[in-house]
Order: sequence, then C-alpha cells, then structure tokens
Amino acid sequence: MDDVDWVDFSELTGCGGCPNLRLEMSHLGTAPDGSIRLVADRRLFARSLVRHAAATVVEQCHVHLDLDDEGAVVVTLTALVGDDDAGLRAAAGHFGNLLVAQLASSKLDAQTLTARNLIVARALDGALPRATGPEAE
Amino acid sequence: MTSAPATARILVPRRTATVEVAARAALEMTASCFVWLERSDDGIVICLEERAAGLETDLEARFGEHLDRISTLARVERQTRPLRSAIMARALGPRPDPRQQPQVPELDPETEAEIEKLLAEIESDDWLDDAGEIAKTWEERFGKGPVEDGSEGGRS
Repeated sequence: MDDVDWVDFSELTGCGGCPNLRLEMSHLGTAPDGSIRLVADRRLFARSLVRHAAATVVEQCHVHLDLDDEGAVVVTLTALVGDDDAGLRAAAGHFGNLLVAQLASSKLDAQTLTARNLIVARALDGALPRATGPEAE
Repeated sequence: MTSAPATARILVPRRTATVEVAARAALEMTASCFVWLERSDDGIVICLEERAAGLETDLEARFGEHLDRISTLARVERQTRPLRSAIMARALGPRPDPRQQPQVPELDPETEAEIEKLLAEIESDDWLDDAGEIAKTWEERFGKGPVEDGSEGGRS
C-alpha cells in the first residue's frame, strides 16, 4: 500500500481542508447587456470541441464565437427572446457540461483508438476470402 | 423566499490529478450541476453551480469523493495497462494461417530424457490388466471363427 499516492484533499482549494479559500462566484453570471460570456481555455478545449458544443445549443440561445488575444475561444450567449435569464443560464450551463463531456470522451477516444483500429482490421481481414490451394503457396 | 443555487470554485493542483482525471470527476457532477473548467498556472479550476437550489448540499465534498474514486480508477487503469494491452494484442493480433503447422516447443534435454524414460516404462510394464481379454482377437480367445462361410458374423 505504500506505493499508492492517495489524493490529499487538503490541497484542494475550497474543500474541507481549507474552507476559507472557498470562492463563491458563479461562472454563469450575466453581463450588463444580459449575455453570458464564457472563455474556453485553449489548453483545455480544442476549438473543434467548442464549435461542436456551440452547435448543440443554437436552438436555445444566440451564440457568438470569437478569439481573444491568447487564442482562447470566447463564447457569448444571449437569450433568444427578451430577458429569459433562466433559459439563458440553462443553455450556458448545458454548453459547459457538453464541453466537459466531450473533453472526457476525447481522452477516452484517444486511448482506445489503437484497439478499435485493430478490431476493425480484424473484422475486415475475416471478411476477405483466404487464398487456398497450391497457388497460395 | 428561494435561496440561490450553491456555487463553488475548486482548484485541483496539477500534482494532485491530471486534467483527464479532473475532467472525469467534473463530468460526474453534471447530473446536478453546471460545470465549467478553467486552467490556471497551479492546476485546473472546477467551477460548479447547482442546476437548482437544494440539489447538492456540499459541492466541494461531493466533487472530492468523485475525484478520489476517479483517481483510484485511473491508478488501477495505469497499473493494468500493460497486461490489458498484451491480452488485446493476443486477441486481436494476426490470425494464424491454418496451413502452417503448429509450432512445437523445443524441450530441454532433461525433460526429454524424463519423457523417454516414462514412455519406456509404459511400453515395458504390463500395466494394463486386460481381465476381460478385450485386447485379444476372436481366434486367440475361442480358436476358429464362429461362421464357416468366411463372413465375420452378423445378420444376413
């Protein structure tokens, strides 16, 4: 058991070990113009992931994508009608959850790529007729 | 009066968990929370906000539980990766050619001598007690055959 490096939760800001460092701030706060602005760090999210997640919420809100000086994608979401703050908050939250899900699945996808390629190659190999007889020698 | 949904920002230090582990732990929170990830110089920041007030009592504790569980799974996954890779390679490797004879492993001289010795014992000893004389032919047991016309018997 000595080689197991358990997670030290006292190192997690906001967890029980250091509750004074907890920061109460919503990432879904609205700007004065009523929009919600999210900055997708390029070190975490590939642009294709952001584009895909943005495409899934276009029916819930207006979406605008831009790049900041550091190359991160700035996603600005505004309500479709009036001041539907609850709907906009739900759409923005859904957008963030989609990004997290896609980030996790993209890692899994990369890990299993070789195995999936092997399975497809094996299936295709099995579907091809195998040469028999003296000409196959 | 309705209370506002709980929020939390949790910094997961880089040396505590990888981005993948943190993302998978954050994914576990999406059932009850809206999640956003940010990167800082010290690690990854998990921003949580309840979907509706009262769904989660303690966001930090719940996330810590998920992070602990996912970290353990990731550690087991990392430790067993060579074995699983070998099993997959064995299962999904190239198909053996049926025209090829199976490879017989070479035996070391001691094992080969031992096998020869056992075979010699089997051949020399009268280890099969043929009490029913099933190893003998009809002629050895009863003399001439039962049917005069040369057939081996049976119905005509």
